[in-house]
Amino acid sequence: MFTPLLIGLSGIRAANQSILTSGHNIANADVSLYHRIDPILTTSEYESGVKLSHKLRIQDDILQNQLYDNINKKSFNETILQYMPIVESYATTADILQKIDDVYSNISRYSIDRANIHDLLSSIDIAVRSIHDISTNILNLRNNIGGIIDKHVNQVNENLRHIADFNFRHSKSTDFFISDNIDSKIKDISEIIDIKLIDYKDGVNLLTAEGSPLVLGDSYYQIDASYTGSNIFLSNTFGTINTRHGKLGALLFLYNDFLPRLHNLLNNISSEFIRSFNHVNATGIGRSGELTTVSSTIPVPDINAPLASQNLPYNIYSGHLVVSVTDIGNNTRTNYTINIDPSTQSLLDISNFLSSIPGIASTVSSQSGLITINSLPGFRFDFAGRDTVPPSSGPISDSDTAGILSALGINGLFEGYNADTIRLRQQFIDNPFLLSSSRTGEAGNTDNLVRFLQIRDKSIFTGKNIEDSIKDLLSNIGSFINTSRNDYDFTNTIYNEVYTKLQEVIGVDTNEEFTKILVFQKMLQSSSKYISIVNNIFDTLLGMLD
Amino acid sequence: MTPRVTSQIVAHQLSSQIRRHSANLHAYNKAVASGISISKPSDDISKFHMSLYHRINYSRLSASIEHISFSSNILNAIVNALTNANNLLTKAHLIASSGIDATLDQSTLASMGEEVDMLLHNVLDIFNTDIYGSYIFSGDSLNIRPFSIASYNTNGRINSIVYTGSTNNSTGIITHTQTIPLYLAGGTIEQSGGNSIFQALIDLRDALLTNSPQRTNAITNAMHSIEVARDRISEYTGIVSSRLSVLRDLQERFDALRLEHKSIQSNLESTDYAEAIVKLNESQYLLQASMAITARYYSYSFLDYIA
Repeated sequence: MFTPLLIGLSGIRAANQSILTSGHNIANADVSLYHRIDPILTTSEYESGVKLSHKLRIQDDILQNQLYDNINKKSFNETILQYMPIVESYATTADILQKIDDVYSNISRYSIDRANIHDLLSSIDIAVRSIHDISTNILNLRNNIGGIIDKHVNQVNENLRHIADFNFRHSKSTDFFISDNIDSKIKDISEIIDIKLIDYKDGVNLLTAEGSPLVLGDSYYQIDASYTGSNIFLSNTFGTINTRHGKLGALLFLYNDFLPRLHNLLNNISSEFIRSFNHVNATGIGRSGELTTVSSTIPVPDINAPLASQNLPYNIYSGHLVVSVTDIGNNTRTNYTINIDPSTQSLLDISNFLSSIPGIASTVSSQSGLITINSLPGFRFDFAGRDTVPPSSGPISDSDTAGILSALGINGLFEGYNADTIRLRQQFIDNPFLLSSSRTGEAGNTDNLVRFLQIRDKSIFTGKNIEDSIKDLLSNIGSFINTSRNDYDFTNTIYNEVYTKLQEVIGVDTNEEFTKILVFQKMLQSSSKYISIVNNIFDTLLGMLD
Repeated sequence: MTPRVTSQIVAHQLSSQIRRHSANLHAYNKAVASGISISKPSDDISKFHMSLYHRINYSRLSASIEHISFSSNILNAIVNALTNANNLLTKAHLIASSGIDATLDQSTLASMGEEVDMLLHNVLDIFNTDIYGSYIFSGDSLNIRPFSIASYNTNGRINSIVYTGSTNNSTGIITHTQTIPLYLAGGTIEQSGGNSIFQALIDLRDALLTNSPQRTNAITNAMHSIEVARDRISEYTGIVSSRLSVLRDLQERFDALRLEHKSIQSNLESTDYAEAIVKLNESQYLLQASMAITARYYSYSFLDYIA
């Protein structure tokens, strides 16, 4: 008797539920990675109306995994392009090539205009400060990246914990809200590290790109960032995790690889520059004349051990060092040659030999590892290799073939041995005439200035072209940025395509949903009308009883 | 299959287009406003290196031109000094010619001797000329006064002058491969082959001041020495003048090269305005179109058509 009314009611109920689903879709239309839900209607048994069979969450696992993969790669390039232009700005704004060239121009100018000495010293100071600034900025950037790496690792761990928790609590759940939330967490993780989704247990199971488990069922394996030497490595209980993409992939690449490589390149350039300039200065004579005291600036850890075993920043070669001692009273100059063998001689041995030379005394501090050479009263000394007075065999072209003066930083222009430690020595700022412009001791002799200029084409000892090395450094930065830019454009195009395709499948077209609503509205109105008609029929039938 | 177009697809594509056009517009705005299209390696590595090469060479040539100008000042000072010394020696030679005249009385000859003594002091001053704090005839010993009085005679007049400068000329560096002798070793100008300028003047002065039977011979010898000295000075004047001429040629060549480097650097670095403005307009239109489409897309909805 009441079956017709129940049929009408089923229509109203099914239409109402479907309208609610469309409403939910419309409300979530702009939620990232929201999966559209389609209401699936089916006919009831025994021709008793219609019912909502189930709700279908629309998904495409292939496209979704492709999306994660592209997010991962895109995120790598985005992160690189976020930081590398800063490094490029450091390098180009500092303009070290121009500044080093200014030094050479001022050296030439000094040969003509002796009043230019302050400009020359100032240009040297500016050049080395620029080199030091670039180095400091690279190291600061690297340190900041180190801090960010920890934050991202914590973020990944938090998301892994969420996914494992979802897997534990909701593995049997059919609530689509859970699935959407997990998708969002996976997307967040894929922005940071390489991941792989696998079928293993109920829920979402994640591995690293290399197969190391991250989430298996309700268990998750926390990632740790640890320092090995000066590098940061990721690992979990299954071992090291090598992530090549994502933000962490980019940050680890910058931290462990690119920035140290760049920094090393800068250090090598600075090291060549420092040693060459220090060698030329040490083996020349300034306008202030011969020396009365000099000290080394690069410490030797063990003054009793052979120099070759001391891991000094610069090599000392087997060769000789010529020390010229001038007796001021008698106006004589005598040359003493020390044969140097770094494999057998210690700093103390060298010092003892120097002390045995008449007119000078040498001391070594075991605490500081530094050597000091002093002239005795009435004497002065130098390492320029001039002929003796009275003349004998003529001047010596290379008075320090062992390179010991520059290796220990004796009578050098600079302190330090790389971009981090480079500094113009204060004593040259205080007394610019210490700069060795001559090899004869005459104020107008420019032989040593010419030697300084020769470094422009070829560094001393290794023969490298410093200018070319700086150009290489700039090219390295520029080409890396360009490569990352091209990779970004490529991955971004693919990402947009995949995103569009996935949206076409899982996304909500509001017009489509409104159309559906109209259909369901019509269904609801029809069912209501049907009930009204049936009701009228009942009324008519019941009226016949009166 | 008709693809489903969701609001997220539209928003994503529109925002992506707007971002791209905005970035392009910004880049072209920057290029037009600054006039520079290449400022860092990533802009264009090969162009950046070429531009760097020309910039460095321009700067080197500018420095070299400055060095040439400075060196020319020094060489000009030397030429002037030598010319002045030569003039003074000519004057001394004229006095000597007059002094040979046997009819002149002693007081006239003595006043001529006084004049030669003054010329001697003037020549000494000329040979001790300094420029920018360096003595032009000291050679390498720039800071040492090259000529000093070694002794006086019983009348308190200069008896001998010694050279205390260097025996080597001082070299000026024009480029890192080109040098030029600048400050001359005055000893070789003043004295050569036993002939000394100062000694010739001292001898002439003494011959004029002293009433001696050998006066004529002494004056004649001094005149000869002065002539030899003048020849030597003229020779050095010629040498220094030719160095000046070399520097002038070098400067002209460097000027031309510098201009060339600047022009190439400018072509490489500077914005191609015609292209940049066309692209700027293009980006602007594209951005406006994207924005218009965005506004239009969101201005109508299916909602407008249903009750």
